[in-house]
Amino acid sequence: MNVPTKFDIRVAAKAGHDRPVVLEAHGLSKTFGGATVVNDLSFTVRAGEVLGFLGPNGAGKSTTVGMILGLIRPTRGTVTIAGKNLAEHPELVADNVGAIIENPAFYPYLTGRDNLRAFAMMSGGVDDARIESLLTLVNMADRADRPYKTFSLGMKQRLGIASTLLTNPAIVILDEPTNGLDPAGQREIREVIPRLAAEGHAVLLASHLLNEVEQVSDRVAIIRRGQLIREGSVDDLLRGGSYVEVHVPTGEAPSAMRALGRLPFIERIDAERDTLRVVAPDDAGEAINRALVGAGIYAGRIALQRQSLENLFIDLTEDEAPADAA
Amino acid sequence: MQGLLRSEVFRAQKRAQSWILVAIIVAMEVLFYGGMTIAQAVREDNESLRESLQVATIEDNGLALFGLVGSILAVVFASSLIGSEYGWNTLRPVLARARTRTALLSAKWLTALLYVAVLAVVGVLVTMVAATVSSLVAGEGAGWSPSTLVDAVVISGRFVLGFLPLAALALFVALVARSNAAGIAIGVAYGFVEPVVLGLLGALSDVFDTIKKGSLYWNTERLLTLGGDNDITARDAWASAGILALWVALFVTISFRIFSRRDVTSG
Repeated sequence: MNVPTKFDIRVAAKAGHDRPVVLEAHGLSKTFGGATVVNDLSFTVRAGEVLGFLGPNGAGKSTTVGMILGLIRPTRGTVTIAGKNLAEHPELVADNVGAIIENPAFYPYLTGRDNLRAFAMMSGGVDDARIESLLTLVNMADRADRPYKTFSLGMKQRLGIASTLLTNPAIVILDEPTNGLDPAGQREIREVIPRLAAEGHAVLLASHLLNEVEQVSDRVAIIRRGQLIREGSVDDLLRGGSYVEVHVPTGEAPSAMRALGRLPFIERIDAERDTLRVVAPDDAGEAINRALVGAGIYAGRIALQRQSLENLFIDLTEDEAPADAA
Repeated sequence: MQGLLRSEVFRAQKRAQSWILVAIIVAMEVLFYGGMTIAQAVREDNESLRESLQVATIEDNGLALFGLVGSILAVVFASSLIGSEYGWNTLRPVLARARTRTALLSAKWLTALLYVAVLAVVGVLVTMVAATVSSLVAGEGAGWSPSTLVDAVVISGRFVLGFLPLAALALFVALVARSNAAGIAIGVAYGFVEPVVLGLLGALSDVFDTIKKGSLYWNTERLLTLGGDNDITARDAWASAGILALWVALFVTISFRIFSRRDVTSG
Protein backbone atom coordinates (compact mmCIF):
# COMPACT_ATOMS: atom_id res chain seq x y z
CA MET A 1 0.00 0.00 0.00
CA ASN A 2 1.34 3.39 -0.95
CA VAL A 3 1.13 5.58 2.17
CA PRO A 4 1.98 9.30 1.87
CA THR A 5 4.99 9.83 4.11
CA LYS A 6 5.92 13.45 3.48
CA PHE A 7 5.03 15.68 6.41
CA ASP A 8 3.95 19.17 5.38
CA ILE A 9 5.70 21.69 7.61
CA ARG A 10 3.13 24.35 6.73
CA VAL A 11 0.70 22.40 8.93
CA ALA A 12 3.09 22.81 11.83
CA ALA A 13 3.76 26.47 11.11
CA LYS A 14 0.02 27.17 11.35
CA ALA A 15 -0.49 25.03 14.42
CA GLY A 16 0.89 27.65 16.84
CA HIS A 17 1.46 26.27 20.33
CA ASP A 18 -0.28 22.98 19.64
CA ARG A 19 2.50 21.72 17.43
CA PRO A 20 2.53 18.12 16.33
CA VAL A 21 5.33 15.73 17.29
CA VAL A 22 7.27 14.98 14.10
CA LEU A 23 10.05 12.90 15.59
CA GLU A 24 9.72 10.47 18.44
CA ALA A 25 12.34 8.11 19.78
CA HIS A 26 10.72 5.57 22.06
CA GLY A 27 12.75 3.17 24.21
CA LEU A 28 15.64 3.23 21.78
CA SER A 29 18.49 0.87 22.64
CA LYS A 30 21.49 -0.24 20.68
CA THR A 31 24.01 -2.89 21.58
CA PHE A 32 27.21 -3.38 19.62
CA GLY A 33 28.99 -6.65 20.40
CA GLY A 34 27.66 -6.82 23.95
CA ALA A 35 28.28 -3.15 24.72
CA THR A 36 25.12 -1.11 25.18
CA VAL A 37 25.72 2.25 23.55
CA VAL A 38 22.18 3.60 23.78
CA ASN A 39 19.86 2.42 26.52
CA ASP A 40 16.10 2.94 26.60
CA LEU A 41 16.29 6.45 25.19
CA SER A 42 13.04 8.32 24.61
CA PHE A 43 12.46 11.88 23.49
CA THR A 44 10.32 13.84 21.10
CA VAL A 45 10.84 16.79 18.82
CA ARG A 46 7.86 18.89 17.87
CA ALA A 47 7.44 20.83 14.68
CA GLY A 48 8.72 24.36 15.07
CA GLU A 49 11.03 23.72 17.99
CA VAL A 50 14.77 23.37 18.41
CA LEU A 51 15.91 20.50 20.61
CA GLY A 52 19.51 20.78 21.82
CA PHE A 53 20.95 17.28 21.96
CA LEU A 54 23.92 17.13 24.29
CA GLY A 55 26.20 14.52 25.75
CA PRO A 56 29.88 13.88 26.35
CA ASN A 57 32.00 12.07 23.78
CA GLY A 58 30.84 8.48 23.47
CA ALA A 59 27.49 9.23 25.12
CA GLY A 60 25.63 7.72 22.16
CA LYS A 61 24.59 10.84 20.24
CA SER A 62 25.90 9.70 16.87
CA THR A 63 24.41 6.24 17.34
CA THR A 64 21.06 7.84 18.19
CA VAL A 65 21.21 10.06 15.11
CA GLY A 66 22.19 6.98 13.08
CA MET A 67 19.06 5.19 14.32
CA ILE A 68 16.88 8.20 13.52
CA LEU A 69 18.29 8.22 10.00
CA GLY A 70 17.76 4.49 9.52
CA LEU A 71 21.50 3.90 9.19
CA ILE A 72 21.66 1.83 12.38
CA ARG A 73 18.99 -0.64 13.38
CA PRO A 74 17.84 -0.30 16.98
CA THR A 75 18.26 -3.38 19.14
CA ARG A 76 15.04 -2.32 20.84
CA GLY A 77 12.65 0.59 20.56
CA THR A 78 11.16 2.55 17.72
CA VAL A 79 11.68 5.75 15.81
CA THR A 80 8.50 7.43 14.67
CA ILE A 81 8.59 10.16 12.05
CA ALA A 82 5.43 12.14 11.30
CA GLY A 83 3.45 9.52 13.19
CA LYS A 84 4.75 6.53 11.24
CA ASN A 85 7.15 3.82 12.30
CA LEU A 86 10.51 4.13 10.55
CA ALA A 87 11.10 0.37 10.64
CA GLU A 88 7.98 -0.10 8.50
CA HIS A 89 8.53 2.94 6.28
CA PRO A 90 12.25 3.44 5.57
CA GLU A 91 11.35 6.13 3.04
CA LEU A 92 10.32 8.42 5.92
CA VAL A 93 13.91 9.62 6.29
CA ALA A 94 14.33 10.62 2.64
CA ASP A 95 10.93 12.31 2.68
CA ASN A 96 11.20 14.17 5.97
CA VAL A 97 14.75 14.51 7.27
CA GLY A 98 17.70 16.64 6.26
CA ALA A 99 20.86 15.95 8.21
CA ILE A 100 24.50 16.75 8.62
CA ILE A 101 26.00 13.60 10.09
CA GLU A 102 29.03 14.36 12.30
CA ASN A 103 30.62 16.61 9.65
CA PRO A 104 29.43 17.86 6.28
CA ALA A 105 30.54 15.39 3.61
CA PHE A 106 30.41 16.03 -0.12
CA TYR A 107 32.07 14.89 -3.32
CA PRO A 108 35.47 16.59 -3.46
CA TYR A 109 35.70 16.72 -7.25
CA LEU A 110 32.37 18.52 -7.66
CA THR A 111 31.77 22.22 -7.13
CA GLY A 112 29.57 23.30 -4.26
CA ARG A 113 26.70 23.96 -6.64
CA ASP A 114 27.10 20.61 -8.41
CA ASN A 115 27.19 18.85 -5.06
CA LEU A 116 23.80 20.34 -4.24
CA ARG A 117 22.56 19.35 -7.71
CA ALA A 118 23.78 15.77 -7.18
CA PHE A 119 21.97 15.55 -3.83
CA ALA A 120 18.90 17.25 -5.28
CA MET A 121 18.72 14.61 -8.02
CA MET A 122 18.78 11.87 -5.40
CA SER A 123 15.85 13.41 -3.60
CA GLY A 124 13.93 14.47 -6.70
CA GLY A 125 11.58 17.42 -7.02
CA VAL A 126 14.21 20.06 -6.22
CA ASP A 127 14.68 22.70 -8.89
CA ASP A 128 17.65 24.99 -9.56
CA ALA A 129 15.80 27.97 -8.09
CA ARG A 130 15.61 26.17 -4.74
CA ILE A 131 19.35 25.45 -4.90
CA GLU A 132 20.10 29.10 -5.62
CA SER A 133 17.88 30.34 -2.80
CA LEU A 134 19.60 28.01 -0.34
CA LEU A 135 23.04 29.09 -1.52
CA THR A 136 21.96 32.68 -0.94
CA LEU A 137 20.56 31.77 2.50
CA VAL A 138 23.94 30.41 3.62
CA ASN A 139 25.85 33.20 1.89
CA MET A 140 27.55 30.89 -0.61
CA ALA A 141 26.02 31.94 -3.92
CA ASP A 142 29.17 33.65 -5.19
CA ARG A 143 31.53 30.89 -4.05
CA ALA A 144 29.57 27.79 -5.01
CA ASP A 145 31.35 27.22 -8.33
CA ARG A 146 34.64 26.37 -6.67
CA PRO A 147 35.53 22.68 -6.23
CA TYR A 148 34.42 21.41 -2.84
CA LYS A 149 37.94 20.16 -2.09
CA THR A 150 39.13 23.78 -1.97
CA PHE A 151 36.47 24.84 0.56
CA SER A 152 37.35 26.02 4.05
CA LEU A 153 35.66 24.28 6.97
CA GLY A 154 33.28 27.19 7.30
CA MET A 155 32.25 26.96 3.63
CA LYS A 156 31.71 23.24 4.04
CA GLN A 157 29.44 23.90 7.00
CA ARG A 158 27.41 26.43 5.05
CA LEU A 159 27.03 24.02 2.13
CA GLY A 160 26.06 21.28 4.61
CA ILE A 161 23.27 23.41 6.03
CA ALA A 162 22.05 24.24 2.52
CA SER A 163 21.99 20.54 1.63
CA THR A 164 19.89 19.64 4.67
CA LEU A 165 17.22 22.06 3.51
CA LEU A 166 17.04 20.95 -0.14
CA THR A 167 13.75 19.11 0.22
CA ASN A 168 12.31 21.51 2.81
CA PRO A 169 12.25 18.63 5.31
CA ALA A 170 10.11 18.50 8.42
CA ILE A 171 13.12 17.51 10.54
CA VAL A 172 16.57 19.10 10.32
CA ILE A 173 19.43 17.43 12.17
CA LEU A 174 22.47 19.63 12.62
CA ASP A 175 25.64 18.28 14.21
CA GLU A 176 28.12 21.01 15.16
CA PRO A 177 26.75 23.43 12.54
CA THR A 178 29.03 26.31 13.50
CA ASN A 179 32.20 24.26 13.71
CA GLY A 180 34.92 26.10 11.77
CA LEU A 181 32.94 29.28 11.24
CA ASP A 182 34.28 32.67 12.22
CA PRO A 183 32.28 34.66 14.82
CA ALA A 184 30.25 36.44 12.14
CA GLY A 185 29.47 33.10 10.47
CA GLN A 186 28.51 31.58 13.80
CA ARG A 187 26.10 34.41 14.42
CA GLU A 188 24.56 33.96 10.95
CA ILE A 189 23.93 30.29 11.63
CA ARG A 190 22.59 31.04 15.08
CA GLU A 191 20.11 33.35 13.38
CA VAL A 192 19.20 30.78 10.74
CA ILE A 193 18.32 28.02 13.25
CA PRO A 194 15.44 29.82 15.01
CA ARG A 195 14.21 30.94 11.58
CA LEU A 196 14.00 27.30 10.53
CA ALA A 197 11.97 26.54 13.63
CA ALA A 198 9.71 29.51 12.92
CA GLU A 199 9.04 28.08 9.45
CA GLY A 200 7.82 24.88 11.09
CA HIS A 201 10.93 22.68 10.86
CA ALA A 202 11.76 20.53 13.86
CA VAL A 203 15.47 21.03 14.54
CA LEU A 204 17.67 18.56 16.41
CA LEU A 205 20.87 20.43 17.27
CA ALA A 206 23.98 18.73 18.56
CA SER A 207 26.74 21.14 19.42
CA HIS A 208 29.63 21.37 21.83
CA LEU A 209 29.10 25.12 22.02
CA LEU A 210 26.73 25.02 24.98
CA ASN A 211 26.26 28.76 24.95
CA GLU A 212 25.06 28.44 21.38
CA VAL A 213 22.66 25.63 22.26
CA GLU A 214 21.34 27.69 25.16
CA GLN A 215 20.68 30.63 22.87
CA VAL A 216 18.83 28.86 20.09
CA SER A 217 17.19 25.81 21.70
CA ASP A 218 13.67 25.64 23.04
CA ARG A 219 14.38 22.40 24.84
CA VAL A 220 17.47 20.41 25.70
CA ALA A 221 18.02 16.67 26.06
CA ILE A 222 21.22 15.63 27.82
CA ILE A 223 22.36 12.04 27.48
CA ARG A 224 25.10 10.23 29.28
CA ARG A 225 26.25 6.66 28.71
CA GLY A 226 23.38 6.17 26.30
CA GLN A 227 20.68 7.24 28.73
CA LEU A 228 18.64 10.40 28.94
CA ILE A 229 19.58 12.14 32.18
CA ARG A 230 17.79 15.45 31.75
CA GLU A 231 15.24 16.82 29.34
CA GLY A 232 13.18 19.95 29.45
CA SER A 233 12.81 23.49 28.30
CA VAL A 234 15.95 25.60 28.61
CA ASP A 235 14.17 27.91 31.07
CA ASP A 236 13.04 25.03 33.28
CA LEU A 237 16.45 23.39 33.32
CA LEU A 238 18.26 26.60 34.22
CA ARG A 239 15.70 27.99 36.65
CA GLY A 240 16.76 25.81 39.59
CA GLY A 241 20.39 26.73 39.35
CA SER A 242 20.20 30.54 39.65
CA TYR A 243 21.49 32.24 42.81
CA VAL A 244 22.24 35.72 44.11
CA GLU A 245 25.92 36.35 44.77
CA VAL A 246 26.58 38.79 47.62
CA HIS A 247 30.02 40.23 48.48
CA VAL A 248 30.14 41.46 52.07
CA PRO A 249 32.93 43.25 53.96
CA THR A 250 35.64 41.04 55.42
CA GLY A 251 34.53 39.20 58.57
CA GLU A 252 30.85 40.04 58.19
CA ALA A 253 29.75 36.90 56.41
CA PRO A 254 28.34 35.21 59.59
CA SER A 255 26.26 38.30 60.48
CA ALA A 256 25.05 38.59 56.90
CA MET A 257 24.00 34.94 56.87
CA ARG A 258 22.01 35.45 60.08
CA ALA A 259 20.30 38.55 58.65
CA LEU A 260 19.43 36.87 55.37
CA GLY A 261 18.37 33.67 57.11
CA ARG A 262 15.35 35.52 58.49
CA LEU A 263 13.98 36.22 55.04
CA PRO A 264 11.22 33.69 54.25
CA PHE A 265 11.98 33.30 50.57
CA ILE A 266 15.63 32.34 51.00
CA GLU A 267 16.09 28.64 50.19
CA ARG A 268 19.75 28.19 51.00
CA ILE A 269 22.89 30.23 51.76
CA ASP A 270 26.45 29.02 51.15
CA ALA A 271 29.41 31.10 52.20
CA GLU A 272 32.92 31.11 50.85
CA ARG A 273 35.06 33.67 52.71
CA ASP A 274 33.31 37.00 52.08
CA THR A 275 31.09 35.80 49.27
CA LEU A 276 27.61 34.41 49.89
CA ARG A 277 25.70 32.26 47.38
CA VAL A 278 22.07 32.87 48.18
CA VAL A 279 19.52 30.61 46.54
CA ALA A 280 16.53 32.87 46.19
CA PRO A 281 14.04 34.07 43.56
CA ASP A 282 15.60 36.00 40.67
CA ASP A 283 14.03 39.30 41.86
CA ALA A 284 15.23 39.01 45.48
CA GLY A 285 18.21 41.40 45.12
CA GLU A 286 16.44 44.45 46.51
CA ALA A 287 15.04 42.63 49.58
CA ILE A 288 18.45 41.12 50.27
CA ASN A 289 20.09 44.55 50.10
CA ARG A 290 17.47 46.03 52.45
CA ALA A 291 17.93 43.20 54.97
CA LEU A 292 21.70 43.62 54.94
CA VAL A 293 21.49 47.43 55.34
CA GLY A 294 19.04 46.89 58.20
CA ALA A 295 21.71 44.77 59.88
CA GLY A 296 24.32 47.46 59.28
CA ILE A 297 26.08 45.52 56.55
CA TYR A 298 26.86 47.26 53.28
CA ALA A 299 27.38 44.77 50.45
CA GLY A 300 30.07 45.55 47.91
CA ARG A 301 28.17 43.73 45.18
CA ILE A 302 24.86 41.97 44.79
CA ALA A 303 24.41 40.16 41.48
CA LEU A 304 22.05 37.57 40.11
CA GLN A 305 24.07 34.62 38.78
CA ARG A 306 22.04 32.68 36.29
CA GLN A 307 22.64 28.98 35.89
CA SER A 308 24.24 28.33 32.52
CA LEU A 309 23.73 25.31 30.36
CA GLU A 310 27.46 24.80 30.44
CA ASN A 311 27.51 24.58 34.24
CA LEU A 312 24.49 22.32 34.27
CA PHE A 313 26.03 20.09 31.62
CA ILE A 314 29.30 19.83 33.52
CA ASP A 315 27.48 19.13 36.79
CA LEU A 316 25.54 16.33 35.17
CA THR A 317 28.39 14.78 33.27
CA GLU A 318 31.49 15.75 35.25
CA ASP A 319 32.70 12.20 35.80
CA GLU A 320 32.98 11.81 32.04
CA ALA A 321 36.34 12.67 30.56
CA PRO A 322 36.84 14.76 28.56
CA ALA A 323 33.74 16.92 29.02
CA ASP A 324 32.55 17.66 25.53
CA ALA A 325 29.20 17.68 23.90
CA ALA A 326 30.41 16.92 20.40
CA MET B 1 15.57 4.88 -7.91
CA GLN B 2 15.48 7.01 -11.06
CA GLY B 3 16.79 10.04 -9.15
CA LEU B 4 19.57 8.03 -7.56
CA LEU B 5 20.62 6.66 -10.95
CA ARG B 6 20.55 10.17 -12.46
CA SER B 7 22.75 11.39 -9.65
CA GLU B 8 25.19 8.49 -10.08
CA VAL B 9 25.47 9.17 -13.82
CA PHE B 10 25.79 12.93 -13.22
CA ARG B 11 28.64 12.36 -10.76
CA ALA B 12 30.34 9.83 -13.03
CA GLN B 13 30.23 12.35 -15.88
CA LYS B 14 31.72 15.06 -13.69
CA ARG B 15 34.45 12.85 -12.25
CA ALA B 16 37.80 13.03 -14.01
CA GLN B 17 38.46 9.37 -13.27
CA SER B 18 35.66 8.27 -15.62
CA TRP B 19 37.21 10.15 -18.52
CA ILE B 20 40.78 9.21 -17.66
CA LEU B 21 39.95 5.50 -17.76
CA VAL B 22 38.41 5.91 -21.22
CA ALA B 23 41.37 8.05 -22.30
CA ILE B 24 43.73 5.27 -21.22
CA ILE B 25 41.94 2.86 -23.57
CA VAL B 26 42.07 5.33 -26.45
CA ALA B 27 45.74 6.18 -25.84
CA MET B 28 46.69 2.53 -25.47
CA GLU B 29 45.10 1.47 -28.76
CA VAL B 30 46.42 4.51 -30.62
CA LEU B 31 49.93 3.86 -29.31
CA PHE B 32 49.67 0.14 -30.06
CA TYR B 33 48.57 0.59 -33.65
CA GLY B 34 50.81 3.64 -34.10
CA GLY B 35 53.79 1.56 -33.02
CA MET B 36 52.78 -1.31 -35.25
CA THR B 37 52.40 1.08 -38.19
CA ILE B 38 55.88 2.46 -37.63
CA ALA B 39 57.28 -1.06 -37.27
CA GLN B 40 55.54 -2.07 -40.48
CA ALA B 41 56.97 0.98 -42.26
CA VAL B 42 60.46 0.00 -41.13
CA ARG B 43 60.03 -3.64 -42.10
CA GLU B 44 57.87 -3.46 -45.19
CA ASP B 45 58.55 -7.07 -46.11
CA ASN B 46 57.04 -8.44 -42.86
CA GLU B 47 53.77 -10.00 -44.01
CA SER B 48 52.48 -10.99 -40.57
CA LEU B 49 53.05 -7.48 -39.25
CA ARG B 50 51.05 -6.10 -42.15
CA GLU B 51 48.22 -8.54 -41.48
CA SER B 52 48.14 -7.71 -37.81
CA LEU B 53 47.20 -4.11 -38.64
CA GLN B 54 43.94 -5.16 -40.26
CA VAL B 55 40.50 -5.06 -38.74
CA ALA B 56 40.08 -8.75 -39.49
CA THR B 57 42.83 -9.59 -36.98
CA ILE B 58 41.96 -7.18 -34.17
CA GLU B 59 40.92 -9.99 -31.84
CA ASP B 60 44.49 -11.29 -31.77
CA ASN B 61 45.98 -7.81 -31.49
CA GLY B 62 44.25 -4.64 -30.33
CA LEU B 63 41.33 -6.40 -28.66
CA ALA B 64 43.59 -8.86 -26.83
CA LEU B 65 45.32 -5.88 -25.25
CA PHE B 66 41.99 -4.18 -24.59
CA GLY B 67 40.65 -7.33 -22.91
CA LEU B 68 43.52 -7.32 -20.44
CA VAL B 69 43.63 -3.59 -19.63
CA GLY B 70 39.89 -2.95 -19.99
CA SER B 71 38.99 -5.44 -17.28
CA ILE B 72 41.38 -3.70 -14.88
CA LEU B 73 39.85 -0.31 -15.68
CA ALA B 74 36.36 -1.71 -15.18
CA VAL B 75 37.51 -2.99 -11.79
CA VAL B 76 38.82 0.46 -10.83
CA PHE B 77 35.57 2.19 -11.77
CA ALA B 78 33.25 -0.36 -10.17
CA SER B 79 35.18 -0.47 -6.93
CA SER B 80 35.23 3.31 -6.62
CA LEU B 81 31.46 3.50 -7.05
CA ILE B 82 30.97 2.35 -3.48
CA GLY B 83 34.51 2.37 -2.06
CA SER B 84 35.00 6.10 -2.63
CA GLU B 85 31.75 6.82 -0.78
CA TYR B 86 33.34 5.29 2.29
CA GLY B 87 36.54 7.26 1.73
CA TRP B 88 34.74 10.59 1.34
CA ASN B 89 32.20 9.89 4.11
CA THR B 90 29.41 10.49 1.64
CA LEU B 91 27.71 7.12 2.03
CA ARG B 92 25.63 8.07 5.06
CA PRO B 93 24.37 11.37 3.60
CA VAL B 94 23.51 9.55 0.37
CA LEU B 95 21.79 6.71 2.22
CA ALA B 96 19.76 9.22 4.19
CA ARG B 97 18.41 10.53 0.87
CA ALA B 98 17.72 7.14 -0.67
CA ARG B 99 14.16 5.95 -0.11
CA THR B 100 15.51 2.44 0.35
CA ARG B 101 18.94 0.86 0.51
CA THR B 102 17.91 -1.48 -2.30
CA ALA B 103 17.27 1.53 -4.52
CA LEU B 104 20.70 2.98 -3.82
CA LEU B 105 22.56 -0.27 -4.43
CA SER B 106 20.52 -0.94 -7.57
CA ALA B 107 21.56 2.49 -8.89
CA LYS B 108 25.20 1.65 -8.16
CA TRP B 109 25.00 -1.71 -9.96
CA LEU B 110 23.25 -0.16 -12.96
CA THR B 111 25.88 2.57 -13.14
CA ALA B 112 28.62 -0.08 -13.11
CA LEU B 113 26.85 -1.92 -15.92
CA LEU B 114 26.42 1.28 -17.95
CA TYR B 115 30.05 2.27 -17.55
CA VAL B 116 31.32 -1.20 -18.44
CA ALA B 117 29.14 -1.02 -21.56
CA VAL B 118 30.57 2.40 -22.47
CA LEU B 119 34.10 1.13 -21.87
CA ALA B 120 33.51 -1.95 -24.05
CA VAL B 121 31.92 -0.01 -26.92
CA VAL B 122 34.60 2.70 -26.87
CA GLY B 123 37.37 0.11 -26.67
CA VAL B 124 36.06 -1.94 -29.59
CA LEU B 125 35.34 1.12 -31.74
CA VAL B 126 38.70 2.77 -31.03
CA THR B 127 40.48 -0.49 -31.81
CA MET B 128 38.63 -0.82 -35.10
CA VAL B 129 39.28 2.78 -36.07
CA ALA B 130 42.95 2.55 -35.08
CA ALA B 131 43.34 -0.70 -37.06
CA THR B 132 41.59 0.83 -40.07
CA VAL B 133 43.74 3.98 -40.04
CA SER B 134 46.91 1.93 -39.58
CA SER B 135 46.00 -0.34 -42.48
CA LEU B 136 45.29 2.62 -44.72
CA VAL B 137 48.53 4.35 -43.71
CA ALA B 138 50.38 1.12 -44.48
CA GLY B 139 48.79 1.08 -47.90
CA GLU B 140 46.63 -1.94 -47.15
CA GLY B 141 42.90 -2.26 -47.41
CA ALA B 142 41.09 -1.77 -44.12
CA GLY B 143 39.87 -5.32 -44.21
CA TRP B 144 36.25 -4.39 -43.55
CA SER B 145 33.56 -6.85 -44.60
CA PRO B 146 29.78 -6.40 -44.80
CA SER B 147 29.50 -7.96 -41.37
CA THR B 148 32.17 -5.86 -39.67
CA LEU B 149 29.74 -3.51 -37.92
CA VAL B 150 27.56 -6.38 -36.77
CA ASP B 151 30.71 -8.09 -35.51
CA ALA B 152 31.62 -4.91 -33.61
CA VAL B 153 28.27 -4.97 -31.81
CA VAL B 154 28.64 -8.67 -30.96
CA ILE B 155 32.23 -8.20 -29.77
CA SER B 156 31.18 -5.21 -27.64
CA GLY B 157 28.48 -7.31 -26.02
CA ARG B 158 30.99 -10.06 -25.38
CA PHE B 159 33.39 -7.59 -23.74
CA VAL B 160 30.61 -6.24 -21.54
CA LEU B 161 29.93 -9.78 -20.36
CA GLY B 162 33.65 -10.40 -20.01
CA PHE B 163 34.41 -7.27 -17.98
CA LEU B 164 31.36 -7.43 -15.77
CA PRO B 165 32.28 -10.34 -13.45
CA LEU B 166 35.57 -8.85 -12.27
CA ALA B 167 33.93 -5.43 -11.97
CA ALA B 168 31.16 -7.05 -9.94
CA LEU B 169 33.74 -8.78 -7.74
CA ALA B 170 35.47 -5.43 -7.14
CA LEU B 171 32.23 -3.62 -6.28
CA PHE B 172 31.23 -6.49 -4.00
CA VAL B 173 34.58 -6.52 -2.18
CA ALA B 174 34.62 -2.72 -1.82
CA LEU B 175 31.16 -2.92 -0.25
CA VAL B 176 32.04 -5.75 2.12
CA ALA B 177 35.42 -4.28 3.11
CA ARG B 178 34.13 -0.68 3.06
CA SER B 179 37.26 0.17 1.07
CA ASN B 180 38.01 1.27 -2.48
CA ALA B 181 41.58 -0.02 -2.25
CA ALA B 182 40.39 -3.47 -1.21
CA GLY B 183 37.98 -3.65 -4.14
CA ILE B 184 40.63 -2.66 -6.67
CA ALA B 185 43.32 -4.88 -5.14
CA ILE B 186 41.16 -8.00 -5.03
CA GLY B 187 39.59 -7.29 -8.43
CA VAL B 188 42.96 -6.88 -10.13
CA ALA B 189 44.85 -9.57 -8.21
CA TYR B 190 42.15 -12.17 -8.77
CA GLY B 191 42.96 -12.37 -12.46
CA PHE B 192 46.56 -13.26 -11.63
CA VAL B 193 45.92 -15.49 -8.63
CA GLU B 194 43.17 -17.73 -9.98
CA PRO B 195 45.19 -19.24 -12.87
CA VAL B 196 48.16 -19.89 -10.58
CA VAL B 197 46.12 -21.47 -7.79
CA LEU B 198 43.94 -23.57 -10.06
CA GLY B 199 46.99 -24.55 -12.11
CA LEU B 200 48.76 -25.84 -9.00
CA LEU B 201 45.67 -27.60 -7.70
CA GLY B 202 45.05 -29.09 -11.14
CA ALA B 203 48.48 -30.69 -10.98
CA LEU B 204 47.39 -32.42 -7.76
CA SER B 205 44.06 -33.78 -8.96
CA ASP B 206 41.90 -33.84 -12.08
CA VAL B 207 39.00 -32.71 -9.92
CA PHE B 208 40.40 -29.21 -9.98
CA ASP B 209 40.43 -29.20 -13.76
CA THR B 210 36.68 -29.68 -13.60
CA ILE B 211 36.31 -27.03 -10.88
CA LYS B 212 38.31 -24.65 -13.07
CA LYS B 213 35.57 -24.78 -15.70
CA GLY B 214 33.24 -23.10 -13.26
CA SER B 215 35.74 -20.50 -12.14
CA LEU B 216 35.49 -16.79 -12.73
CA TYR B 217 38.67 -15.79 -14.50
CA TRP B 218 39.04 -18.93 -16.62
CA ASN B 219 35.63 -18.26 -18.15
CA THR B 220 36.31 -14.55 -18.48
CA GLU B 221 39.43 -15.30 -20.46
CA ARG B 222 37.61 -17.71 -22.73
CA LEU B 223 34.89 -15.19 -23.44
CA LEU B 224 37.30 -12.35 -24.15
CA THR B 225 39.63 -14.38 -26.38
CA LEU B 226 36.92 -15.97 -28.53
CA GLY B 227 37.71 -15.34 -32.18
CA GLY B 228 41.42 -15.16 -31.58
CA ASP B 229 44.08 -17.67 -32.44
CA ASN B 230 42.70 -20.47 -30.23
CA ASP B 231 40.26 -23.37 -30.32
CA ILE B 232 37.45 -21.71 -28.33
CA THR B 233 34.12 -22.18 -30.07
CA ALA B 234 31.02 -20.00 -29.91
CA ARG B 235 29.38 -22.77 -27.91
CA ASP B 236 32.23 -22.64 -25.36
CA ALA B 237 31.83 -18.88 -25.17
CA TRP B 238 28.09 -19.14 -24.53
CA ALA B 239 28.73 -21.66 -21.77
CA SER B 240 31.29 -19.31 -20.22
CA ALA B 241 28.87 -16.39 -20.55
CA GLY B 242 26.25 -18.38 -18.66
CA ILE B 243 28.66 -19.25 -15.85
CA LEU B 244 29.85 -15.65 -15.60
CA ALA B 245 26.25 -14.43 -15.43
CA LEU B 246 25.79 -16.75 -12.46
CA TRP B 247 28.88 -15.29 -10.78
CA VAL B 248 27.57 -11.76 -11.31
CA ALA B 249 24.16 -12.76 -9.96
CA LEU B 250 25.86 -14.26 -6.91
CA PHE B 251 27.86 -11.08 -6.19
CA VAL B 252 24.80 -8.89 -6.70
CA THR B 253 22.57 -11.05 -4.52
CA ILE B 254 25.02 -11.27 -1.62
CA SER B 255 25.78 -7.55 -1.83
CA PHE B 256 22.08 -6.72 -1.47
CA ARG B 257 21.72 -9.06 1.50
CA ILE B 258 24.72 -7.56 3.27
CA PHE B 259 23.88 -3.96 2.48
CA SER B 260 20.24 -4.21 3.51
CA ARG B 261 21.08 -5.67 6.94
CA ARG B 262 24.23 -3.83 7.87
CA ASP B 263 24.49 -0.99 10.39
CA VAL B 264 26.17 1.90 8.60
CA THR B 265 28.33 3.53 11.24
CA SER B 266 30.99 4.97 8.93
CA GLY B 267 31.32 6.31 5.42
